[in-house]
Formats: sequence, structure tokens, C-alpha cells
Amino acid sequence: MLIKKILISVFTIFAAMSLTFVLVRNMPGDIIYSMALDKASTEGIPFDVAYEEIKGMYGVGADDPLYVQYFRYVANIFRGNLGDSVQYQIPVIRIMFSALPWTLLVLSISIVLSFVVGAIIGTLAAWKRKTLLESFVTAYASITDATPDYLTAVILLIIFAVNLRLFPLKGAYNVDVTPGFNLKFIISVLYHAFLPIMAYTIENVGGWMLMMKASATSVLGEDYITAAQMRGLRERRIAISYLGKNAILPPFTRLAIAIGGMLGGSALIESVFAYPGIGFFFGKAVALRDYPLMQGLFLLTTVGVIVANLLADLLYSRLDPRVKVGE
Amino acid sequence: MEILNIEDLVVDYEVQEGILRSVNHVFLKVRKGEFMAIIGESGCGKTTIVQAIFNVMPSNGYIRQGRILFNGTDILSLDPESQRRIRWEKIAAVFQAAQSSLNPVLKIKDQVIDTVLDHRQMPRVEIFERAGKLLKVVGLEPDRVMNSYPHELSGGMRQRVVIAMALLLDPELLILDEPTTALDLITQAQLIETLQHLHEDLSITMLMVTHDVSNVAKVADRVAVMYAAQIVEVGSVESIFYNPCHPYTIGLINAIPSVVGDLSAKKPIPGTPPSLINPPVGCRFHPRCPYASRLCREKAPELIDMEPDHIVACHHRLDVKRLQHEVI
Repeated sequence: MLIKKILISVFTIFAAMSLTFVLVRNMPGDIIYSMALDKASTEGIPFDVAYEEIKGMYGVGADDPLYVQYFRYVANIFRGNLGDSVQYQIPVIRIMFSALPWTLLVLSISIVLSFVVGAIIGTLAAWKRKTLLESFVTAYASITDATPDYLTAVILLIIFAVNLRLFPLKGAYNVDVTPGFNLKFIISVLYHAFLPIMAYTIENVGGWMLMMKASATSVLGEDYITAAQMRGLRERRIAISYLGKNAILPPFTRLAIAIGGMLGGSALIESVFAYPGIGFFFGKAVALRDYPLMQGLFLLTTVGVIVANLLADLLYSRLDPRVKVGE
Repeated sequence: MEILNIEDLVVDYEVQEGILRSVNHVFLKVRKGEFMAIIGESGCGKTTIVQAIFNVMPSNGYIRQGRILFNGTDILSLDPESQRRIRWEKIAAVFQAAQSSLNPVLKIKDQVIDTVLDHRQMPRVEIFERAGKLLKVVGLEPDRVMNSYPHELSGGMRQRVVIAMALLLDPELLILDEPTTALDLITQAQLIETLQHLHEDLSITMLMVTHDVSNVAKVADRVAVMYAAQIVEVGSVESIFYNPCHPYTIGLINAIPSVVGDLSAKKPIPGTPPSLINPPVGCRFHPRCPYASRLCREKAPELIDMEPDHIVACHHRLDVKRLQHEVI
């Protein structure tokens, strides 16, 4: 059954890849036209010449029919060639490899932090029902849910970086330090990552809390919780091994999706902090209709989500003994 | 000597339609060493009494008044930690839906270990030894069961696991809440037999709560009959089955289908149990009672001695008794 799951995943990746190609090519706005217009006026050359030059620069072979472009694109992917970014004039693959570590650093810490904190607080809120904590969880989640993540990022930036000057305004590390495995660099990296991590965690922890609270509340109605109480088990044990262990199962599936989506970065938060992760380049790619870069990054996200789902399926059966792999 | 003495217990549930009084001024004594049964229809408040004994109420349930004396100490007045210690060490239970009372993500052995370690310091080897012995008593294969997850066992096996777990800490009182529901007839019979053996061999006091009147006749020493949140009759199993004095008790016994004889002779009690949000004034059974009079509609009867160790709450207990004997 595992083979079947893997085959389905491969097919899904292929389908998503094709769909992305079509969608990206059909996005409104002819970037070549506007760039050519720009070039023609700044360099004082005829529009037609400028148009041809820009088109060549994009390397899209825009004269070829769409399906030819598509096959060329797919064939190149299998050769590990995602094309060159139009605006940076370097291979998309290189941008990905330079951006990915930053995104993985910030988002893996943020996701683990928000999931763990959310799961603990959500379970407690369900366990100690009718307390202040329960109202807090609901209020916090609805407020952060209604606040867009870039706003949270901007607020953090204004308070802690602009006014208090506790944290840097932008970038991933101080330009004075030499990148490498040395303490100065690591400290600088963590120092720069702090605010983006906070922004993401503040924004996402509420969702995990709510999800965990809802899940734990429904588990509380199960007979084995009452039975555990009647057995005179300690509260702590019931909350962790009986309530928590069962309630974590549904949010866990969502965690896998979040981890997969992580490869796409967090476009708005990374843009606010000018943090050079995948999301930052995503923003740039969309703004300038940098097709090759956009397609490459979309592909990365797709593969991430699908692979994470596959891993979640495998892991789930270890968490819940009732589920066998591939069912 | 009473091991359990419930005095004037009142339990309410707050539901959307208002206050549902599930247990209404209940007095009940369980003597040391006996097998006592509480019988009554579903929803009459039997299970709520069990929940109150453990003081584990659903979020909308409240114990309004009353005392629950265990060996003379009021459990409800104790601090939470002392209450927790009484649970399972002194009073254990096999619950309604025991099938689902095991944690699905933990192996049986882990649940056994949790249960013992939260009450006693005991090396694992000893815990396994003790659990193994008890699993054998209830007719299970210890090695296989201990290493299984609940879903890998059949319903009957899970029920037996729960019974074995109830005996882990040598409780003085074992409460059985509908222990045989959701089991097939053969498993039911085997289980009742196991329970009987346990009662006799380990001399544990048993309190069984059930609507299965025929099983009660087999195992119980004394029986309390509950109707609409109140106790209406208490007596020895002989007096309840051969000399019932409450019209409801008679109805319950007549409703048992007999293996021999005509099925049409089975007479269900007419009507349905009353709402516990708005119970009838006077005797709560009067809308369904063939003997109901004006007195019954106005004044609630009290529990009165009929004969030694046999009390009944009915204004017409003497007429009922006389007519009952004429019919027989």
C-alpha cells in the first residue's frame, strides 16, 4: 500500500506542476510589454527592438506555442534546470538553495514553538474548563486570526526594532561577521531571526490552541477519560497520557501540512523584515512576473506539502495504533 | 455493618430545558460482604448514583446535597487528593460501556501500570505478576492481553480486562454499572458467572446497577428498585421477586420474557417514564399505576417498613400485596 501512496504522491506533484505552469503563464499583466516600454524610453531605442531584447532576456521563447514551452519546461526540470531568474539573471536553483536555509531556520523553530505551546495551552484550556484560560484562548485566537500576519510583523518591527532598538531592522545576519560555523555568526543569525520567529509564532499559535482545545474537548467526552478519573489516576497523568495523547492526533495531521507548506516560506513576514528566505523571493517573483522563479518556488512548495503528507501518513500509524500504514 | 451509606443524595443536571433532577433524596445502604443490586429503567438515575459515589460528574452535573459515607467517612467532604486515593484503592468500578473505558492509544500493560503506580509503589515485575494472576481469574491469557492495544481485543475480552483492572488494588467495594450490556448472551452468562465467583472467592462487596432484572435474580442478595430518580422499594432478593409490594416492581418483574410459557403473558408497564425536569406531583408512578388514587396524585409516599428488611414507598402497598397474592 505504501507503493500506491508514493505513486499517488508523484502523480499529484506532476499534476500540480502542470497546473502551476498554466496558471502562471495566464496571470494578468504583460510584464514584457511594460519592461520594453521602460527600456525603450530610458535607452532611447525603438520599442520593437527593446521588446525583442526583453523577450530574449526572459528566455521564455514566447513565440513558441504554450504546449512546446510546457514540454521544454518539464524536460528541463528532469535535468535539474529550473531556468534563470529574469530579475536576478542567475539560475532559479541557486536562489532556492541560498534562500531555503533561512526559511527553514525561521519556520521550523516557529512551527515547532507554536505547535508545542498551542497544544499545551489548548489541552489545559479544555481540561480546566470554565476558567479564565479558556476565555483567553478564544479571545487570543480570534484577535490574531483577524490580524493579518504582515501587520503583526510591522507592529513588532516598529516597537522592538525602530523604537526600542532591541532587534535589527532587516537582513539575516550582520554584514560585519563572516558567515561560517563560528559563535559570532550564529548569535547574529539568531538575533536577526528572533523577530520573524516571533511574528510567525504569535500569528499561528492561536490556531493550534483552538484546534487542540476543540480536539481535547471532544476527547473529554470519551468514556476512557471518566474511567481514568474513576481509577484515581493523577490529574497530570490523565491530562498528558489520556487526554493529550488522544487529542493530539487530529492537529498532528495539520502539523504535517504546515511543515510541508514551510518550504514556501512566509512571503509577507519575510518581506517586512527583508529576510532573504523563500517567501521574500516569492514576493519579488510575483511582483515582477519572474515566471521561472515563480514556477520554481511553487514547485518547491508543492513537493514540500506532498512529501510532508506522505511522511505524516507513515508517522500517524506510530501515534495511533488503530491505524495501519497506508489505510 | 454498612460499607456504603448514601444519605439524602440529590444530584441535578443543568440541561437546556432547565434543571433535571437525576437523583432525588436517595437513601441507600450497602452492607459489607453482600451483593446488592439497583434495578430500574434507563434514565432513572442509577448511573448518576455511581458517578456521585466517585464524585466524577459530567460538566453539567452537580451534587446538590447529601452524604456518601464509606466505612463511616463522608467521601464528598474529603479533599481532592484523599478522594482520589479512595477511588480504586477502596472502591473500584466496572462501568457502563466498559468496552470504551480503555485508552485506545496505550497498551493494556501501560494502563495497568498507570493504575497501580498512581496509588502504590510497586516494582514492575510485581505489577505484572499481580495483573497476570487477575487476568487468569477472569479467564484471559495474560501475555497476549497485556501486550495488546484495546482495539485488538474483542468486546467480551475488554470487559474482562476492565474487571481484572478493577481488582488490581484489592478494593473493598466493587461497583458494576450495567456490566453485561453490549455483550452477546453467552458472554453475558460467562461474565455473570465470573462475577459470582469473584464475590464468593474474594468476598468483595458488590453493588450492581442494571436494568437486566433476570441477572439480578441470579446473583444479588438484596435489591433496590429505582423509579424516576427515587428509590421505591428495597428488600432481599426473595422478598422483591416473590413478594413485591410496589406496583412498579411488579411491572418490572412481569416484563421479563420467560423462556418457557407464552410470550403474550409478558405484560409491559403501560406509558413511559416521566420527565425528570417536570416530574409528576405526588407519587411519581401514579400516571402509569393501576392502583392510583387521589392520595397518590397529591402526596408523595415515603419508604415504610413492610416486613423486616423490606421497605416500600407506596400508599396502597397493602392492597397491592393482597391483590398480588390473589393473582398468583
